[in-house]
Amino acid sequence: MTFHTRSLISIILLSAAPTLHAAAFNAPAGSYAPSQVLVQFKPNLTSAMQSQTAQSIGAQSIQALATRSNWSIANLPAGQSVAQAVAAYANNPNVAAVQPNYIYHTMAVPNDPQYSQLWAAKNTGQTITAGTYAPTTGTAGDDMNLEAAWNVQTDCSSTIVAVIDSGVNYTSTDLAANMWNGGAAAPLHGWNFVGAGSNDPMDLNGHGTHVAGTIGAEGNNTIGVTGVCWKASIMAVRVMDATGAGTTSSVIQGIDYAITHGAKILNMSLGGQGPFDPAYSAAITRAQTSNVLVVVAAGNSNTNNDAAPTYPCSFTQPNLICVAALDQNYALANFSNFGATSVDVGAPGTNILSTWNGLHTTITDPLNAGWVFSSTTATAAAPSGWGYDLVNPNVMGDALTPTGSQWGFTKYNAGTDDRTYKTFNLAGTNTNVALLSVSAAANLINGDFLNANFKAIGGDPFTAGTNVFSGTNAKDGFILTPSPKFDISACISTTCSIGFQLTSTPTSLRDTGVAIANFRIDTVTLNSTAQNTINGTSMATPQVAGVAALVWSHNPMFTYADVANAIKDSGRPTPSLAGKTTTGKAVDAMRALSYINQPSGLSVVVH
Amino acid sequence: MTLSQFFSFKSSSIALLTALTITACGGGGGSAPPPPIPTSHVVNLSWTANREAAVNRAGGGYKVAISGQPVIDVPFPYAASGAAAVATLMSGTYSVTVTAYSAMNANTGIAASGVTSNSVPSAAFTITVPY
Repeated sequence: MTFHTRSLISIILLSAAPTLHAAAFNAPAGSYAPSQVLVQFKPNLTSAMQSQTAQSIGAQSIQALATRSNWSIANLPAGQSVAQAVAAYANNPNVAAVQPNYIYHTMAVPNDPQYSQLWAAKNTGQTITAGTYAPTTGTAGDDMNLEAAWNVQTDCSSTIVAVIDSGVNYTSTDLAANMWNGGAAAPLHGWNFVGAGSNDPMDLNGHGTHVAGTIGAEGNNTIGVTGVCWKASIMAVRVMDATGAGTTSSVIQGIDYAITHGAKILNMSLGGQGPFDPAYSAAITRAQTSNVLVVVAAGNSNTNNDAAPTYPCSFTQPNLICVAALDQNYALANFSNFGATSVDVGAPGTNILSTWNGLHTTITDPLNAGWVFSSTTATAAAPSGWGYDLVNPNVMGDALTPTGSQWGFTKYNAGTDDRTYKTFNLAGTNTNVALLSVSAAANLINGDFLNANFKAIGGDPFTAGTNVFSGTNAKDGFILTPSPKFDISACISTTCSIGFQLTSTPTSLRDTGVAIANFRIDTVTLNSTAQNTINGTSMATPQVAGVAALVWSHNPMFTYADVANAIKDSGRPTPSLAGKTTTGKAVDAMRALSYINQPSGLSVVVH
Repeated sequence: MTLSQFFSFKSSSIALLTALTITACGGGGGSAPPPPIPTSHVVNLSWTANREAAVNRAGGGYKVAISGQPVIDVPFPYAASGAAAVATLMSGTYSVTVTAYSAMNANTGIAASGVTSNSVPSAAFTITVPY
């Protein structure tokens, strides 16, 4: 392994380093100079007597370090090991202390050009230039102590980590070398369980690629960022679609696939506040019985998971670690869920730079020009149909007054079919994904409908078009909000028409109709070089999964319980997590690596 | 002492009580019985081996703490018996714990910089070495 700025230096910690004598000398080879020891002679011993003493033990020469310390470097003769020399000097009456001449290193720092932006690895108080969460600067040392950990372990490739998410852009130049090798059965490094499923887990959202990069963007490759693991084996398991939504069925299929194909760690940066999901829970249990660790996100609602369970975080299996998000000062992020009995640890989750799936662009429409209107019933005497709201800018409504003044004061007609649509060019940059989001405030009698349709070849989308939404029976409420988004990727063309339709029954009691606002189309053009800086417990979770992979790779005999203990027990006590998590600790990679489980199973036979 | 308490003793203790009874019948006087004579016993201790790589390579090992006795260091490489130690103890009751250690420095990751990592001691195990 070549480090960017690695160099060897010898440091003598005369006052701090404890002296080792022969009985205690058990340092691994390579951690000290092989042909030297440090000897402290007793006070008042002359230089001549020091030399004589050293020669009697076989030293080729000695070199005094500081006249006031009585410490000298003794150069050992050929054939004498450091252990033998330490033992010999320790038994000499003229010697006060002796120890190996230990070798220290600079901390391992990768050469990835964006490394200085990765405050989770090394927090110097730097400004995260693309950060959107305040503060964008932090406190030096509030990090996961990764540089120390990288002195011990950078390669996690022996531990397969499944990213159960929106997929992974496996073509990313910072991820390609670290993707799981699924052989001929999984040539694209995983599986897609969305919809009909396929062997292509390409990420059409970006979320999963970001998560994957935090775990294992290739480190020290002079490209982009580095993951917690410099080398990794990332299995892409796509269970969420381009909008970021998934179902129980897709998630549990993904979990079982990962288990079956050898994943040891599952990263699940997903969740929802629903009822207890027994099928989901059973899948987590299957992971447990397969010795698989599951690292999950606490959630982004700033709520207490103990009071309002969020799954999978609130499942209670012991192979689960639930992660809260910390900011650059190790305060609990203002969006992060917490739970004294349900959330385990904290990790950096704000202003996290990582790999991304491509170029994301947004098309907005001011809803004040270019829309085609039609109505089957509107007359001057009985107005109905769509128009631009002249009082509220950027709002388009049905049942506007004949002068088009303001939505909400005129009722739509019974038995009407009011339509509006507009054509958009979505194919400008080899677009791979298009998502529609919109707000719709509605006063609709039950049985009268608002429909949203699209049509790739243009023209009226309610004639041979595709429906993406239908809603009815609303009073003074939003039946559509900008989230969720609707996948209209099938409309990617230069002539994509998108429209809204209000229909009413012939006997409708009529109401004031629908107002449309916040019209937006998000497009994604996949590429292999994108990065993004985002926030969330989703971003904190892979920090922990990466540390788990480091620990497990360094300790291949570990069980999931050993890894979980190492992460949870060794963490750094953090005031913002006290009473908010089960441990009150932030994950520390070096402490986790050096953690030793409590011995057990002691038995005695007395003869 | 009740009969049931007698039966809870190990065999060596029962033998001693029998001897005491014989002495009382023959002596007829008020002299105190002689104290039991401590004897030396070899004690084999074993535990479940830790799975940490750093415990199972140079610089790693276990410390066995027996109350009132010097700590036994069991450094890597381990004997064929594995995670085990042998002690010679006189009759009595002892508390035993085992702590695992490695040469990995928890602050820097650099091995053998003089600061080692240690586990939490095992749950204490009480042993009674008979007379």
